[in-house]
Amino acid sequence: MSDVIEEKQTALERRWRKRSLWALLFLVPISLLSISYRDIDELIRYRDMLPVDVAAGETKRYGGSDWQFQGLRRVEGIRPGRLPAGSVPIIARFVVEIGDPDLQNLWLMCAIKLTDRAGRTWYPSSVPGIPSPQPGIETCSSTAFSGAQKGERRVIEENYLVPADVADELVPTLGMHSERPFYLRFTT
Amino acid sequence: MRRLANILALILAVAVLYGMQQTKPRFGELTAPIPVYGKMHDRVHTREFDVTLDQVVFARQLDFTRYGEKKTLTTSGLWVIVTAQLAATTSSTSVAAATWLGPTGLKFTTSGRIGWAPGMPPHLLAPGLPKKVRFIFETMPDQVNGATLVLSGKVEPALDSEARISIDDLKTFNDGQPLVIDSYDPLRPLTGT
Repeated sequence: MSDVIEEKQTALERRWRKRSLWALLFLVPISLLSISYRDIDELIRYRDMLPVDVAAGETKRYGGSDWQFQGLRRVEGIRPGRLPAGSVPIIARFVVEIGDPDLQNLWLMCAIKLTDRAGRTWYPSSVPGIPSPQPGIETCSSTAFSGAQKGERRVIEENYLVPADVADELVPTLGMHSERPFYLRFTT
Repeated sequence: MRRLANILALILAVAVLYGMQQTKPRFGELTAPIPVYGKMHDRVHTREFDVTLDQVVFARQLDFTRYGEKKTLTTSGLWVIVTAQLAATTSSTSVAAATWLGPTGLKFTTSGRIGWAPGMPPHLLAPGLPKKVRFIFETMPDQVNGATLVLSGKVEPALDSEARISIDDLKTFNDGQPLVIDSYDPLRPLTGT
């Protein structure tokens, strides 16, 4: 009698052990994902990973506002010797129509970068001797804290210092915490 | 028999777990910087920047003029002036942390006594635009031979490469003591880009 019960139990045990092992296949990935989901979600917001191409002159909604790329221009007339050898100062200009005015959250970590064909990137930098922008022209981060209202049109400019040999092939990109991993890649 | 096997398995499991607990790396070790070793005059390649250590000069005092005012900084040890070339690899970056690591493990961070001046860290770098820069330390005479310069982008780099350059090309006297000049001007422009 007891033998029969034991046999039944071991059969049951075996079946459940098998089921448990199979369950691990799902449980392990699911638990890993549920533990690290927030970290992954935060991590992908630090890097521009998936480009969204924007045609020349096209207006694109990003970070709750409509962005239009106006162009890159070289700055002339800086006294030679003030800039590092072989470098060219460049200004990138955008026009933005503010949509959602919660810029301090939506435009967090706003980064407008220039990228060359080899994938090297330049962040905005201070350029010695560059003339200060006209009143009303601000950078991406200063616009975010300017209290701009819905429907306002703003001009955003960023300054760069890049090597002369890549100055003509640079493409601007725009990334923000709220929209990454997607970022805008503008056609010049 | 089965019970004995179970007990043995339990003991084994406890032993394995105890061993794992004892040898578990600390968080700081798990996320420690990844060293890239190099010598002076070699181009040392880290993830974010390339560095070539050109020259190391020792001085008894620093003399310079700022805002029309002459300043002299003396020390009871030695001033170390390291000149290097830095270049960003793929993206604009900065080199914020430099440490003079003495042969006995003493660490000296860059001196803050000079104050802000052009060519002082943090050094902002852009790809394709290499820079000549200075790092200035205050150290002790016995922390010179066998020293290492440690450079990293951030002050506390985690899981990122860090340049460790052995200071192996020094002008020394026959007794091994380094050549120490009387005075150095830390604001003198560095030639080159």
